[in-house]
Amino acid sequence: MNKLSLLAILLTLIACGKSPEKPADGFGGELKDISAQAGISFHHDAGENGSYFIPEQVGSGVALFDADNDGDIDIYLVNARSHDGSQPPGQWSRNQFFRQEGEGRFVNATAESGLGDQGFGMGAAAGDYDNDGDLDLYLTNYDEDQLFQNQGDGTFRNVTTEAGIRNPRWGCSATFIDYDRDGFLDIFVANYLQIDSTITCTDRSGRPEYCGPDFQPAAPDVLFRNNGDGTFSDVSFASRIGLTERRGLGVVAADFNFDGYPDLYVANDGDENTLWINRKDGSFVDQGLPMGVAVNRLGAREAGMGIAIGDVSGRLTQDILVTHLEGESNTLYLNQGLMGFEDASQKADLERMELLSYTGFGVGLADLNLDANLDLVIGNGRVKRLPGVYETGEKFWSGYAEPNLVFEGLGGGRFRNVSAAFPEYSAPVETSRGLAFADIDNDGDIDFLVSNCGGPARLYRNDLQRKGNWVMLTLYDPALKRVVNNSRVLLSAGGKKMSAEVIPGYSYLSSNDHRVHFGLGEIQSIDKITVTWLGGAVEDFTELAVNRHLTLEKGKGKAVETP
Amino acid sequence: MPAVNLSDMEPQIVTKINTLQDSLKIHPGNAAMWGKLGMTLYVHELMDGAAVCFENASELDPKDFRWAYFCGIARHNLGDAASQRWYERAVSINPDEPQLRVRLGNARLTEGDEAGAAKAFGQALGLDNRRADALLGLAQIDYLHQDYEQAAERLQKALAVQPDLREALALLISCYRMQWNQKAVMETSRRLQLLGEAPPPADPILNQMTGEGVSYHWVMETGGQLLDAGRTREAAGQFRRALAIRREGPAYSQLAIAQLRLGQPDSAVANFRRAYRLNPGSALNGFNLGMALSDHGDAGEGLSLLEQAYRKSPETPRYALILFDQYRKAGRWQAARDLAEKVYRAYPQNTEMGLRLSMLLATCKEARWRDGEKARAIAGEILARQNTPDPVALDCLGAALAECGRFEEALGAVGEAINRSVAGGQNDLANQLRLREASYQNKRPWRE
Repeated sequence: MNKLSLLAILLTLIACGKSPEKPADGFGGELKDISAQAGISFHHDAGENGSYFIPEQVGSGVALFDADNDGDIDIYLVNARSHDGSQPPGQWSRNQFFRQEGEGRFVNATAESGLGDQGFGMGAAAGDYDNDGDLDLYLTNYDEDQLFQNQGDGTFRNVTTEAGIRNPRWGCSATFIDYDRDGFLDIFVANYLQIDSTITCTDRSGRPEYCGPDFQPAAPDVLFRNNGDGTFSDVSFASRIGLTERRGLGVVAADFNFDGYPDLYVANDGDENTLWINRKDGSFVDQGLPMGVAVNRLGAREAGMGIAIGDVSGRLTQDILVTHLEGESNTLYLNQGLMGFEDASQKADLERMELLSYTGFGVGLADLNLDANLDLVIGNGRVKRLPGVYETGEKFWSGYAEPNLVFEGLGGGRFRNVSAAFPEYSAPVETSRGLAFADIDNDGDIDFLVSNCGGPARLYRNDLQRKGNWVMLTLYDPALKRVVNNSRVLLSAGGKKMSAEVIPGYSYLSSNDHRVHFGLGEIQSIDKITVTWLGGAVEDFTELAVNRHLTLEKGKGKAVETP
Repeated sequence: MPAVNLSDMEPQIVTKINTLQDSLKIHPGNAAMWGKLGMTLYVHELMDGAAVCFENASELDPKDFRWAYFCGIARHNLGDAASQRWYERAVSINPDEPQLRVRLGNARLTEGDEAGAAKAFGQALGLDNRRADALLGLAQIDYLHQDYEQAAERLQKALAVQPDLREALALLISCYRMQWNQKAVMETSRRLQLLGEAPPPADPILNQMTGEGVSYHWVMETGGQLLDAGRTREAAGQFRRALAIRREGPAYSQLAIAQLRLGQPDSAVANFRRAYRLNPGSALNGFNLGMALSDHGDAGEGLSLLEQAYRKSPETPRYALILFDQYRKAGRWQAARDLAEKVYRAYPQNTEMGLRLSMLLATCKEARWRDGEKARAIAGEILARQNTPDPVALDCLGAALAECGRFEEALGAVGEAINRSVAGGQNDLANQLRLREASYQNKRPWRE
């Protein structure tokens, strides 16, 4: 028996051997890998060369965004590269841009897009920083980050230097956030480590292995304030964000304390997670510990990787789910308003023994089957080899590979593992990292794309049986010519209420659909949608149809159906 | 016999595993030998093979609870819910050992069997009423049942036994939050923030495996744990053992650290130098040797190495801080001030350097390097960032105010620093601060 077969059996035993759960009734259909038929051909170059350079295994992210303003989602896949001098810079791998031609068909448009960066790529965030009506792109790298300005036609210009962006540290997840509510999107970057490359590590059998983060000092995060004239100022210290050194990997911006100002939650690897509460004066204060989101319910600092956000509990608040290292659960923090958060992982059934063997990275909460409950999708991949498995060469990443997971949301903050029902997503045993969510085919349900370390990117089309209606909203401010991040939506229908916030930046190293999606279940008509725009204005929108993509335009107080 | 992938493994591990496997082929009924092979595989992270060996050992010698217990732990590490069954077996063999019952309780809790978990934790407390981990387990169940008052009471008991139990403090914060006791939330959060890294919970039964580890990594890890536990001589022995396996820089460095603690500076310097020669590009190796030489050898060479380490890794706060201290010790005030200003300008988050700079500007014995206003501004800036004023920052502010001739305010600042240091149990610092207080009462600024 060759090693790969042995590994496959071993992984199958670990993943499925205990008590594989049957999918819940009605959760039928498929999550179908359509990468090949959609024209997505991308193999991530992690740059692994036997030196066990830590950035190799951090992987790379994905941005799903409408780059050319044609109404459908395009795909940007970040790549790492060779780093040992064995290849001249001209031959280093490039990030890849795939433009959607419509109907779920993509063409590789990297060359003409100007997005084929050759840095040691990590993550991407999309946002319209210059308020010109198209989405720009911030790219984090192990080396210097880059800012690309959209030229309005789906091509981009690198404006990093002229915009005053300089982050020489190891940037990972980034997000756009208008923290000072001046109408211009600012940029936050979670920085990870400062590497001492002379330190080498082995496993307990003496074989070379990636060092853990505790061997390296943390790098402080960075906040760039948008000056409104196409340039940015580094306000990391003035805002107090740069005064804390933790190993940041994931970030999400949301108004966690309902004061109308967006806050920041950072998942740190082995350090306490940070909840930067916006003090409304340009500075932030860390409230992670008192608000209950810095450590798990047992008081342990965990290895935070990716973050998902959404109203899991049905309390009309934004709950948080953080993915973690093997041996730690993926932690669900339910937002209890002014009382802070409660670690409800155990109640959510996320602490089951068979789930503790995985290392989660990319993650998202989305109502996949439109039953009005958020479901959970996780991309897994180890950071240390599976005990007993040691591979080199082309099979290198198989030692780190793990099955991915899908959970059905049951409402009230509970989940059920239904991974076995979706073999196209959970069976390919790969080392998943970036994971991004969007309605790729504009059919009203959420699809997703996973990026695998040293492996192929896979695009999954949501072909699940639908258990209800849906609506998808674009919250647009004509004065700003863009979607307004961190505006809040309250949907009312027949006495039932649902909530969401415009948050494209979540998961791990990734950027997601700028539209807000609701699975409506049995709701047939919407009474009202109340939008609280970032800045405080509140508007009611009525006469809204279900099963539509709608644009809610600020100031109009009525819904306009998008073509 | 479990299949084990031995490729690229250190030769001494391969030899040990092969020897044990060969012996087992001759004596397949020897439970202790199966256990020994299991432990050897376990400590080298060959978990699946270890589990098989422990199962075999347990079948052959069902009266030895260790094999069932170790099997449970190996199964747990493999993410296998069968671990619970093995813990139960271990408990049935040795019902008087509370450690087994706590493990069983935690396994049951993980699987959502709260009643079973409560029973196991309760029985552990019946055997030893000072088991903080069992109290924590019961408090977790109370919390899940929304009995926050009972949970908090148990957690207070657990913390009375083990004040550094992070998990208990964190859960206590959650209990207070659910009881809307914001004051207690903030106080307990501060307590948790001040808590250092706690060692992993002790498991004397599991520790029996330690001697089976023969890899460089394992020996180094064991040595590090011994060093942290203050068992320096034993730690040095482990680092020598590691060097016998592989002559690598970290083993030389760790041995040197142990030797410094054992009062053997010459040997320590020699070993730091060996580490440095093996990897002169490492900022850490240069820093270690520089530190040792500065205190126990050629101070000039030491300072030069510290400067190199700082240049290689200017973002590492410790390198800059130690270099500053050495400059100051050598009376090189300008170099110290230039370094501190440069570092604090580039990395304002390095408050320790900011405070050192403030103190130097306030108290340097050479007047030309003093600048009271600047010292005051820096100390004030750092204090403004702190949610709770730190006595050292207050001390710096006091020294700066005194340098500016504002003695009443200086006395206020140093008085507050004394109160806070006494409250925090920092009595040495408080005594030092009282000397400064006396100086300010006499209208005299402090001088280094």
